[in-house]
Amino acid sequence: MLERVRRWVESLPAVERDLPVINYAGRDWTPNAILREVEAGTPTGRELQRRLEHRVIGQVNIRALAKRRLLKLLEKYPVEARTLSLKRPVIRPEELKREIETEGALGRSLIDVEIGKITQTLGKY
Amino acid sequence: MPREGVVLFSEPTGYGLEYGSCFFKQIAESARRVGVNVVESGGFPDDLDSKIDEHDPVVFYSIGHGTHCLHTVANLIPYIEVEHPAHPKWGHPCYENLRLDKFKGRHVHLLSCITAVHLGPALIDHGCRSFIGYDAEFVYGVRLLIAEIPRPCEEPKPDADFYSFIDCDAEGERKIVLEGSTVGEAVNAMIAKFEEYIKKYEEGEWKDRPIAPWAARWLRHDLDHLKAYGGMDWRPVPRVAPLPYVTMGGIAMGLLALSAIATYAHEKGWWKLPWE
Repeated sequence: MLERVRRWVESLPAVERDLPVINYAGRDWTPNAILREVEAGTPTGRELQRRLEHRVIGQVNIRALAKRRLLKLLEKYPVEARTLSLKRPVIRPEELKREIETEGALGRSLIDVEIGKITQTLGKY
Repeated sequence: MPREGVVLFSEPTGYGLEYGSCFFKQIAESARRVGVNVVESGGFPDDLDSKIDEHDPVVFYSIGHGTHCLHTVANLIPYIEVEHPAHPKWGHPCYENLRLDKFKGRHVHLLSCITAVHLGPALIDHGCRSFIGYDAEFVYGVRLLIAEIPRPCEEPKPDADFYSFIDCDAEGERKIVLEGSTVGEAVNAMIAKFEEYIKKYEEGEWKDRPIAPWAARWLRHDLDHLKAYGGMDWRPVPRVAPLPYVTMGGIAMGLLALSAIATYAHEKGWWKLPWE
């Protein structure tokens, strides 16, 4: 079973391994953190593995989890996006952060994309 | 009635539009090689108007900044507009109807932000035969802050990509103009191209590039907001046989004709084989 978790983590792009996919016991768990816990053989590890098998994200608002993932990603990889919008042809990291936090039009769309990413990541297990 | 097989590309520069125009020029060059009548414009309204009036193109492919009710061209000059109050999400009211009737019977593809919200449907209401656009902000380039801004048509780099997004959009007109696809087939090809790049970034050869997580997410965002209205089954540019086939066909016909003449002359006894 530990092998399966390992294979799952290895199948993910490096950056995705540090983005949370499950919320359990009051905290977010990334694939790398889940693997460490399973390797340690703790009861939490066993529970996380059970949740992985059943694709249980946890008692958490999935939009909120998606937001936290995006903000973490933005912190690690500050990015600038160029658009064909008259309103804002350049979106700097600080504006993108605001968009995600306040769920502006663009932020909402990115959060929707991120929810898909969470499902996709869990689906690879 | 627009002229089938005549296409007009609006290719402005400045304000980042050169990133799209560069792709348009490549398609135009290939289109000429297969015998399509391509008209190119620098994207100023007077020039576009006169080229539409003179050539009556069936396809209008244009890059420009936009809103839910407006498409601008060179120098951010408004070109197509539908009167509409401010949108709760996208703001910016539009105060007049501008050139909506000019696209009657044509296929309009706007590489522009948000125009599929109100402008696209208004064009269809005014007789435009098909429309491709986006109902959210179209992201055409992403770069990590540490990365240099790429040149137009420069292949994606590990920390910046100003290429894939527009390449996905351009795939639609490649299909219509170069291969004679229907509008529906073109849209499907665009979707497939988006998926191809997303896969490359998510699990393929580019998955460990620093720009990968953002490029994949923004590509998915653009794809999620791709919209097409109107007739999906029509073929704005009739299929054109690729030039090599036309040339080979011509040579084959010529050889056949020569051999028929030679046989006839031989039967008449006008010439003989050396051993006869």
